[in-house]
Amino acid sequence: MKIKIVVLVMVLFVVSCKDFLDINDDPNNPTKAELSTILPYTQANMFGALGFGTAGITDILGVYTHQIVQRGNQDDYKVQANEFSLTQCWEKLYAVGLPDLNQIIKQAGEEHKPVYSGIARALKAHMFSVMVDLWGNIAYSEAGDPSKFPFPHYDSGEVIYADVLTQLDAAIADLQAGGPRPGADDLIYGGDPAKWIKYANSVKLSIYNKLRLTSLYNAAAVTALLSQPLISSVSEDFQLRYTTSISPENRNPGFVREYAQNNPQYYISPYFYLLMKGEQACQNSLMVGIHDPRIPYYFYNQLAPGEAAQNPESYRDGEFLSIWFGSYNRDPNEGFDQATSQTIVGLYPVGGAYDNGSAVKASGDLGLKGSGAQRLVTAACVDYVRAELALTEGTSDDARAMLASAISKSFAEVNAAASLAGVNAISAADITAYSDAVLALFDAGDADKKLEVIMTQKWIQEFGSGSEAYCDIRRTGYPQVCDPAQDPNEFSIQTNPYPVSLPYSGNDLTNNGNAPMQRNQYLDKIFWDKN
Amino acid sequence: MIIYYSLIFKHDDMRNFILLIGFFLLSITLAQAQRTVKGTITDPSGEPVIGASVMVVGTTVGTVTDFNGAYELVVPAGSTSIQFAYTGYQTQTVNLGPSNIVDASLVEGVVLETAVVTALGISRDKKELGYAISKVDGEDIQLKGESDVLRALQGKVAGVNIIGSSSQPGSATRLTIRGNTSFLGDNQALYVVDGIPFDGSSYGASFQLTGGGAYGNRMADLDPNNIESITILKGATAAALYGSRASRGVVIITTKSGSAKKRDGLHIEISSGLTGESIASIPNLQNKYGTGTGFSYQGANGSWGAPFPGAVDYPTIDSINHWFRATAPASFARLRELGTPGVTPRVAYQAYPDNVKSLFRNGTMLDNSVTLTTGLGNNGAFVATVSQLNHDGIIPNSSYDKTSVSVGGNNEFAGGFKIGANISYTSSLQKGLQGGAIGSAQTSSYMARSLYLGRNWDIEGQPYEDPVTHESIFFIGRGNADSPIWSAKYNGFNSDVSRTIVNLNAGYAIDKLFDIDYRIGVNTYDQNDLEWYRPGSRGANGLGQIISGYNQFEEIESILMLSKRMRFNDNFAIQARVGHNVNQRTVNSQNIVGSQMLDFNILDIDNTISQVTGGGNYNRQRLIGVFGELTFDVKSYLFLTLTGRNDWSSTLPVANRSFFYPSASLAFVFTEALGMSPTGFLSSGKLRMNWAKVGHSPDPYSIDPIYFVNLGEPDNLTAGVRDIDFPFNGHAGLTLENTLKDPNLKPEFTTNKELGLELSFLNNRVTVDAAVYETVSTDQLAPLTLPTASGYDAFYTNFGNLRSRGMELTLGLTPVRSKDFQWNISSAFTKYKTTVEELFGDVNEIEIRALFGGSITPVLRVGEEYGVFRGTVSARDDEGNLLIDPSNGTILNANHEEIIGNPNPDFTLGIVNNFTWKGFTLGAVLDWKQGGDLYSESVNEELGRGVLAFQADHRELGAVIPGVYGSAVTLKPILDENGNKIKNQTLIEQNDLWFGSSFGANAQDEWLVFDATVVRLREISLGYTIPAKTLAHSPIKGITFSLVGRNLWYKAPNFPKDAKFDPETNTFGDANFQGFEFQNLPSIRRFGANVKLTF
Repeated sequence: MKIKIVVLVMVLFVVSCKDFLDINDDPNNPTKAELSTILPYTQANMFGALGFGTAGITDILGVYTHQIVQRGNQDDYKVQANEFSLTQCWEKLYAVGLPDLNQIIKQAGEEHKPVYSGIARALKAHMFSVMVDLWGNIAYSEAGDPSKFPFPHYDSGEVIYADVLTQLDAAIADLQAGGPRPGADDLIYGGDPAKWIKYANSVKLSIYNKLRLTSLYNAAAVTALLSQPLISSVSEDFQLRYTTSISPENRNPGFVREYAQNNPQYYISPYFYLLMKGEQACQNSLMVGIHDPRIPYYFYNQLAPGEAAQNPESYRDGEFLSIWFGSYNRDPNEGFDQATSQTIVGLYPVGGAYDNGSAVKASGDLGLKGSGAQRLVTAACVDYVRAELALTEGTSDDARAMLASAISKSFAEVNAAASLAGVNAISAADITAYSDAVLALFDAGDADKKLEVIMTQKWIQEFGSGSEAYCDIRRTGYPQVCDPAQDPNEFSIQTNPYPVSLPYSGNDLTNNGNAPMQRNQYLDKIFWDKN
Repeated sequence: MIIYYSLIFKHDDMRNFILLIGFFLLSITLAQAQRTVKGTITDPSGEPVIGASVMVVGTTVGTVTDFNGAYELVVPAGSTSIQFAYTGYQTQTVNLGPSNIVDASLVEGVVLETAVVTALGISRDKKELGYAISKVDGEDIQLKGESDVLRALQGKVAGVNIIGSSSQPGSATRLTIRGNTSFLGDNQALYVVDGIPFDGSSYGASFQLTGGGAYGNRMADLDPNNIESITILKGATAAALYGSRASRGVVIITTKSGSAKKRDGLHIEISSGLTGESIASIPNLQNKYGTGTGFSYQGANGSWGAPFPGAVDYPTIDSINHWFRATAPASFARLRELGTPGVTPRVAYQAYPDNVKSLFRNGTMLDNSVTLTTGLGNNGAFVATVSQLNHDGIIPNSSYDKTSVSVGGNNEFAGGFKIGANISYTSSLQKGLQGGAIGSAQTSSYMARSLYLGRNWDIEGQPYEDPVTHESIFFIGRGNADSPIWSAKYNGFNSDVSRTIVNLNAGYAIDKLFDIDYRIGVNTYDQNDLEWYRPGSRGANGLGQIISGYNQFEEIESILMLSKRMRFNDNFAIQARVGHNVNQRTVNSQNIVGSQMLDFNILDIDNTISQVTGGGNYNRQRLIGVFGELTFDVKSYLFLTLTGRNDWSSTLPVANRSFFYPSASLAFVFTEALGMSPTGFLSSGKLRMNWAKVGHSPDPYSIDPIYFVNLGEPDNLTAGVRDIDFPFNGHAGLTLENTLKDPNLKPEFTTNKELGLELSFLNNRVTVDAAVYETVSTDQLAPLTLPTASGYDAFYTNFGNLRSRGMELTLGLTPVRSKDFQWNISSAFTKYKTTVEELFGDVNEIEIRALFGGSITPVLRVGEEYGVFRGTVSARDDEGNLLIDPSNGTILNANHEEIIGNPNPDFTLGIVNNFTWKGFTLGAVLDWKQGGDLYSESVNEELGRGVLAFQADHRELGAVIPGVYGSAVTLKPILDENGNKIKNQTLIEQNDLWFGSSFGANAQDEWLVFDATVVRLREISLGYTIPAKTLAHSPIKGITFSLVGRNLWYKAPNFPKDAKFDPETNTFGDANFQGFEFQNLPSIRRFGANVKLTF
């Protein structure tokens, strides 16, 4: 009897083993996703990687291009392989962006949605071209396929550039194929294939321009491109407009860094400021006498006239307060807290505040409250590229006309931001005065001076926009960069040469036996850098 | 039984069990029926021994003697002997004869505890065991001025490494046994309370690097007052029956309510302890220079400014503008209205030597407990314990309050049934401070400046809050730090936990030799966290933020076990067991982040403008196991135990779901085999050896690739710095997770080998327990770090090989043993090394956790010990000379990282001394941890801010860093015209030495890693028990008073002079990455007084 009871008890414990254990599917995270949900993530990711913010590469390049100054390794040109914004940019592009872009291309093929794959191909090509510009030889043909290539070999920048051009053609073909379009899930162009085609062509043009001094330059292809649709108005800019939402955090990361945390990280480079102001800037006297009306849209002064700064000042001009490049841990006054005194990045680049002289202290409540755009390719930029190509390669464009058009579009960009913020636009008269003065400088100069004028104007326009200005400085030597020996600060000094590339993200080399040696950032040039 | 198993399992899986089951069926033979045995226990003087333990050998059946020394016990069928034990007396084992009256007279002596609880609650004679086991009585951890059960064990057990994370009340403690066995999985011991696994993991709404507090781990839910004993099974063999999680060792905790022992009448025990605590040490601070740089005053962080009047023999300033002139412009006007209108206030420029000290108050801990024990029916017992702990920490608004109620009982019925149950409920509330590394954006750590305040900062009596807006005001700007007083008052976290454990066990003697036991338990907790930054803080953009999070955990465990005992003749006996185990664990958590507080005072997420979710998690896993154990007893001196277990795990792919693992252990009491007399020089000697293999299954959902839904950008995953989040502008965003999954995962296996020796000499006055062991984990389940250029960060697969080798030695000495006075010394020596032997292909390193996305990182690297630090280093030439930048005299940075530290100690030694003289007892615990590195941000900042006393010596003289000039471009030495290196002769200021990227702040990581060797007087206790005779005519049966001091002295010789730093700390609680200190609370010292009354 007792044995029978035991058997009965045991039978009660019997469960169907298979069903009981088949519970290993994550109920909260799907294994499949709609294209319309992957696309916005990968777009925002790319802008985050390349723009301002703690984790964007402009955090470093803004200093290298002498538009901002930061207390840190960027100062004096010595970023390390573990620099946060550098490792994060690398990680975002390779580990976050690339798999999502590959997935979109694959899934769009399966779902017969070529517009999606065209967008993804174009973004991927653009992304790799920027990575070549920063790091030269990188993983490309073996990247993004870890089950086949867990430890990818690196390809040469030249080979990648050549393939990127082909990929852009494939992207354009996809974009022309029609079919279902994205809608608002395309955060950039709202699913308009025509604008994406303009973007792809503009990226191509910019790539050819960088190839200008190499054997890969193709004059016929450039000529053909100039007759193709290119980004030509502010409404076609390749930009991401952030929002004012704090939670979820949707604000421009550069705005968050400068305004929202009571601890702005970016000083405006006095060099940039003086140059725009029309004064001698370090050794550079190019723009002397030409006052740039964009200043209050670019920079925001927290100090009122005559107001004392929190602490002893390193560089001050009126309400403008900053520190000099090359002064980190050298100038006794550069390290003091100036959070509520320093001049910060303004309305145009990050969606901050227009400087109307109110001297209201920075906060998340100012200006566009973070809903400014991060720009990567603008209509103005395209025209500057065309001006450079016309000047140096004799394309069908007229260099002077293109420069004039580029300046005009540069101001249109700023006025578009002013309009969004509901503040006064720059008057047509001011624009004309400025444009005329610059064009006069252009007209008066020899070919080299003309190039310097174009590149300097382009650099001013590209404030906060990723890597293009850093490429221009390395390719053409213009704009000139501030030589701290020539600035009025006795403590600032430059001990390292100008960096011709960035170091690879250190963690990546540690774990990849197929990766090359770490780059020497002062010696290992990008292949197109023939200076 | 065959029907039963074949119903559950596929035919293939049966193979491994047929043999065991066959044994069972064969072994059903006749034996004696159960009976009741009674008797009286006396000491050599004939006095009754009260509370002596009486156990039926080989079973869990036992009782304790009553006030008259009497006991009564139902002895199960087949049992042949009973064991009597009492602290301070030799244990006696008496073979049962025909008589049902068994009296015993105990002989005094130092006694090795003999009956011990082993895996699955099986009580066994210690001499049978072929593996290492340590036991600690509840009394050894109660009323010791420590409410954390694990910390109370520190220094007392060999082979066990225990690290408390913080001095914050209720904060987490990490306990590992014999090193690490898993690359990235849980390495902490498995905790089993009353036979049911007890989840001890930690959880907190925020990761402490970038904010959040020193949350507890869930071991804190245990009530120390309810603990009867703790048994530590050290190797995988000891624990093989428990399955997967046991490869890390098991801590078996028996509670009073879970082990009620029959007593006559009503017994009440009341204990009460009052403990005070204070900061254990404050750095020796300089009081010669105030804030600023270059010997001139400024309102800055670093104390590198002008000297104070009288401190030097050259002229200096004697007054300065009031500090809020510089740092609180918005508040300034309002604050100035408090003074004379129109006058900028000036204050004396002077040192405030006690400003750091003034930030720490004295804490208190009040611990009260009542335990009630009584009989239940004829053969039952009932226990109830109610405890309350109120602990206020050394910082205002830090506290930990806990209330525990436990009840339990058991009863035996005629006919072989027994039943027992216990329930315990613990409710706790931890209140604490916001922490986080000071360099990290948006943190508002109380400790951000607290240990290295500007020497002229008169923090007491100064305003810390804007009278109108409530925002923090401090000597430095709000973007730098909050006032610590403000931070403690207005920022913080609460963690509210309720935990319930329900446990039911039933037993039935099927026939005379055959027992069936069943146990089912549910162990569940709800943790509700609230974290907040008030508006006006440095944290949360100054807008105010409330994070509300919950974590629900539930574990259900069912164990069915059949046991059979057989004695064939005097020389040979067999015990056999088979069992069945089902386990299910479910975790469900979510955080809601509310941004922008509206009302300054309301700490409710409803009081925020917008809310998003972040960090939610749900997972459930199930495991089915069957196991068997056979013990062969040859002549009572040779014991061989074999175990086998097969698991089926829900987290493995279906094809690899089933896995088997065996163990074998041998115990050989050679002194008995050789017929040596227990009264000789060598009283007893035992050799033990064992081997085991234990399988692990992966975490749930580790097979299929998934998309993350509406995550922040990836840095959110690594360092917690938010970039942007989704939904973006109302659009959902999904992204493929960055980990590649392996669809063919296999179980991971840990193999353990151990050789041990137990000796006792001179009638147990000298005892030695030594063990050497090796543990190898293969086919580790972990995310393999991939180069991100592959497109993924990691590949979750089986790979690699981790090996621990170690030894432990426990030495017991009784130098004096007389009638009134006894001195016992017990020392525990532990030494082990866990080495990463192999990873995967070309990969020679994986990150345990990316902290700041670069910089110092805990890693696993081939050939290195577990969790070494990789970090930045200074540039050196081929001879190791530092390369100095000729432009400024500071050290150049190398452009690569190196292994710069190892958090694992070389060895630890704990020495416990106990003296007893009549009713007095004096105990002292001294421990020594040799080696093991700590990365310390606090010390870094103390150096960088120039506040340590030695930094004021010869400050005017500057310094020259030893090294040779080097080129920043090539990172090679600069050579003179003769091709020789040039010795650095560039003089730099002390300020630049400690702040200018050479040492201290802004230095490469290698300079911030310190050898954490520390010697400590951990515990001293003095107790007095009033003799029973004195109380004979009162209702009180016993009174014990005790005084206890904790952490009374320590010395960490390899930390910078004057830092007086206590390296026993870890920012990341009980996580695998140890050896990091980011602005933790300093350690504390405690003094307590306790009383225990027995009625």
